[in-house]
Amino acid sequence: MLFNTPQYLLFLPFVILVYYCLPPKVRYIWLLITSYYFYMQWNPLYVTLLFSCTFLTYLCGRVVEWLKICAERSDTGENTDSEKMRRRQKLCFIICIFLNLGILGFFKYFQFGISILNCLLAVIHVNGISWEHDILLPVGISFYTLQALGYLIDVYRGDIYAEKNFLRYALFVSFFPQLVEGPIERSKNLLVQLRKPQPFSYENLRKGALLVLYGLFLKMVIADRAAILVDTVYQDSGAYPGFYVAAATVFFSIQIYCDFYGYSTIARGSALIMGIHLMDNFNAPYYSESVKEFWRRWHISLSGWFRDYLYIPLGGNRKGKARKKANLLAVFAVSGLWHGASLTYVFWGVLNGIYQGIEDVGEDIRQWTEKYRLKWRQMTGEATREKGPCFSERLFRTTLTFFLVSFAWLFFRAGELDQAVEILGNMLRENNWVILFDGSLYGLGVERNDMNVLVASILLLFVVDYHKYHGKDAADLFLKQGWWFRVSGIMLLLFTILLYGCYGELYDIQQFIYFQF
Amino acid sequence: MKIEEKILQGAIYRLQKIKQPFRTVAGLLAGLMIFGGIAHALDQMFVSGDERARISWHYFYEDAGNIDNIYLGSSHVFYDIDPTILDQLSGQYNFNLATPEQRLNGSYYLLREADRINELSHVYLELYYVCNYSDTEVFDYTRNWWNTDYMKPSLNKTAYLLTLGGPEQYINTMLPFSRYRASLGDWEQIKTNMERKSQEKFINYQYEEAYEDGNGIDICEGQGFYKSTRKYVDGRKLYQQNEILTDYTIGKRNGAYCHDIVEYCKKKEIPVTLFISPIYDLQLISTVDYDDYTTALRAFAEEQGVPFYDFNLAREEYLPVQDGKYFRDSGHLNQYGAEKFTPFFYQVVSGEEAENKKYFCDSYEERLRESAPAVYGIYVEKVEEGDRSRRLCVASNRDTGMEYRIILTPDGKRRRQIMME
Repeated sequence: MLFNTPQYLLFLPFVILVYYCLPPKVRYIWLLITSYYFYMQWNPLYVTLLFSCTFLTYLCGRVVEWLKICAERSDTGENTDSEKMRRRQKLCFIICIFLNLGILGFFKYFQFGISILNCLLAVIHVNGISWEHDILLPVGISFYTLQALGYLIDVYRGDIYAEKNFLRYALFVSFFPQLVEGPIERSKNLLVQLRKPQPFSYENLRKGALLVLYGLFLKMVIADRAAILVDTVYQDSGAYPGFYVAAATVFFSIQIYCDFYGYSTIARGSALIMGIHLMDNFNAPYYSESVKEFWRRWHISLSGWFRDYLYIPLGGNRKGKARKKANLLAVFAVSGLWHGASLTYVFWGVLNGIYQGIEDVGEDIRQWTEKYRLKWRQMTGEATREKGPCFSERLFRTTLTFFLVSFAWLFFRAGELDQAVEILGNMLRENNWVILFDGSLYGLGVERNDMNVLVASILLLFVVDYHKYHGKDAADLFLKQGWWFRVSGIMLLLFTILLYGCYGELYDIQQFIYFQF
Repeated sequence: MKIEEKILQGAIYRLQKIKQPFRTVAGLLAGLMIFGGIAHALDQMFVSGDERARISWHYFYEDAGNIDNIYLGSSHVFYDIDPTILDQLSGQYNFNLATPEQRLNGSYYLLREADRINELSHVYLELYYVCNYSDTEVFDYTRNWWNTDYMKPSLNKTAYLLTLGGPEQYINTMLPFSRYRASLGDWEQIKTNMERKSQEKFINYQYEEAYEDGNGIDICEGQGFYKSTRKYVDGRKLYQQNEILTDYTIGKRNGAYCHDIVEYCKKKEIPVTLFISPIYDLQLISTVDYDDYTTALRAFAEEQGVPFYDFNLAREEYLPVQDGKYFRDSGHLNQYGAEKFTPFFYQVVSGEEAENKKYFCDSYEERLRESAPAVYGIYVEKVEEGDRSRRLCVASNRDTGMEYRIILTPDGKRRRQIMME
């Protein structure tokens, strides 16, 4: 059940209606039932995996906490084998982590692992392993596995208490708005809210509905329309060389953003109507002035997860500059691998890590020159007050960051490394910049009228993001406006979706890109 | 703070609390009204729909409460059966609740709609083979939208809309303008639509279509009847083979809806009669094994215990309409054909089933054999998609001993006319 289908638009109001009709104490059970039903719409068998992950992490969380309590009691003299308890706690924790990662690894990386192994065996002239079975990747497994592991790590670290109510914990792992594509919620945020259901709020309903509408707009009007152009070029890049590929890559940057951001926004809106605040996964990433900043604003829940549970435990930036850069590369390589079992994703991740490494070097040089410039100013008696970068400099940085990120997306979109190289070759093959202005782009499946709507919608997106970039909540701002403005805005969004959205028999309903991860 | 101020503040607070739900409901209603207004304006701009269906539905609701007998089915009903003749013969009020290529699921909900606002005495269901040949065609959205767009809101309409297709079609079904998104920027189309809809003829539900070639006009005179003075001239007797009916079986869905119609009528104690209108022999011969179709329907009717009449099997002496002057085209009778057919139809359906047997042959083949030797025209054989070859076949009621001449004459408009002697 995709968010951009009428099924979901019928499912959501029904769930909400029943949710508020039920006594607060049992609402989480209703949400659990509906979440499992939601998940079963893809493949009922996948539920077993979801349940296994839930049960394993729940059990382990409880055991880890119990062993921790035992160890603490031992410390206070009640018992003598505290070290033994701590070892058991660690062992239990590691086993659970490996079991969960094992499930994820089997479904996501087994075939990839075999192919890599076969390549290596071929190098030493040994027959490869034959594996002819297709393993289907269960929807959302990467997301809920990380969410459950995050909970387990928090319990192990003693940041939170283990959840005693299994059903509530099961809901934390499977809460339908964020089950298949995130945001990867933290137990400190979501679990706490599930314990205390909020009463119905008109404000939440208004804002939630607006977010759902805006999310649908992003997905159906921008992402899916841009996808037509991108697919046309990427499926036959040989026929569309040079600036066709460049334009398609830029459109892909917009597509993937609106696709994923659209999903996250619908998820946030759906949860908000039920009084549950999910974290915002994006914060105007394309306004970033550096790749580092981009990653603070893009897929925030995943970046935060990797920062807290991988980068910092690896040493973060506390063990010298070289180690920091190595950690960064490692984290981005893992992040790339998390996205997909293919070398192209690893390369995409590493490329982003390299960007940041270079940025760090640049920053070091800038600080070094700044230090001497400051000294020079002190010597010459010039004003020493630090000035921020001017508009043109910021614009240049933002544009550069956008193009660097877009360049990396080329590898992400290509799917396979050799294809990416081929597409890159086609991009550099011809200097046909004129196609950007002579209407040739209208021949890529998006006609003039549709292209105008697409461009206008992207402009609207950037206006909204501009407010977000400056720390303002665009939804709140909108809802504070006069009624005529609100009505006009909502009608505009609604009718743009109805008239220009990609749905119905004219279009193939596009799956959300991140579903495959 | 004074007590009066406290009381006042308390009252204001309570008032605000009461006001909020009212404001919410009022806001939602206003939003819905604005949405409806914009949607209506867009419908006016983009939706072309089917004019005959629109007019039939208009007359249907005008006649609500007065209708005794309804005739469900495709265009074969609204061209072939003249309800005014039936009114005179039966003394009851008859109405053709027929829409172009009406599907059986549509017929079911139309029956319910007719029964909802009338006290029906008899239901007649026409079964044109094109409308129930392919199972997948049952949910032909366009043909059903021609009904749902003009039906008045009711639970029956809601049920019709919900069963029309999966949720993926809900938006297109509920909001007609959304079906025309492909032609959003087509200002010519919008202009044509708006001009057509602003004409008095459109506003007053008048239907009159004159043909460019000067061969007759179609007019609607109410009761769902479309009177045509057009004649099926020899030069036009070139037919594109539509379906091949060899080994025809009524499909699962079609059978189910047909069964539902019969069951509904039985439950409501309304007699129901199944029938097939006369079709010009050129078309029927092109179906190769028309008898397979009529046999399957006869078996179905027997199973359901309802009368079934295939007027294509009617002996020429009783229904002498197999002539181009009685047909509008290869499938529909014209005004003169309807004048001949309607009284005979009434004679049959009001008579005893056993008595009626004498009017009909046992098979279509027998009826062709009984008729005087004739060549009805030429049909182009159906070919696989992508196959550019065309095979022309002659439709005749004799395999041997016939002489005919086909002349292709350019008529000056890059078309060819076919003359037969």
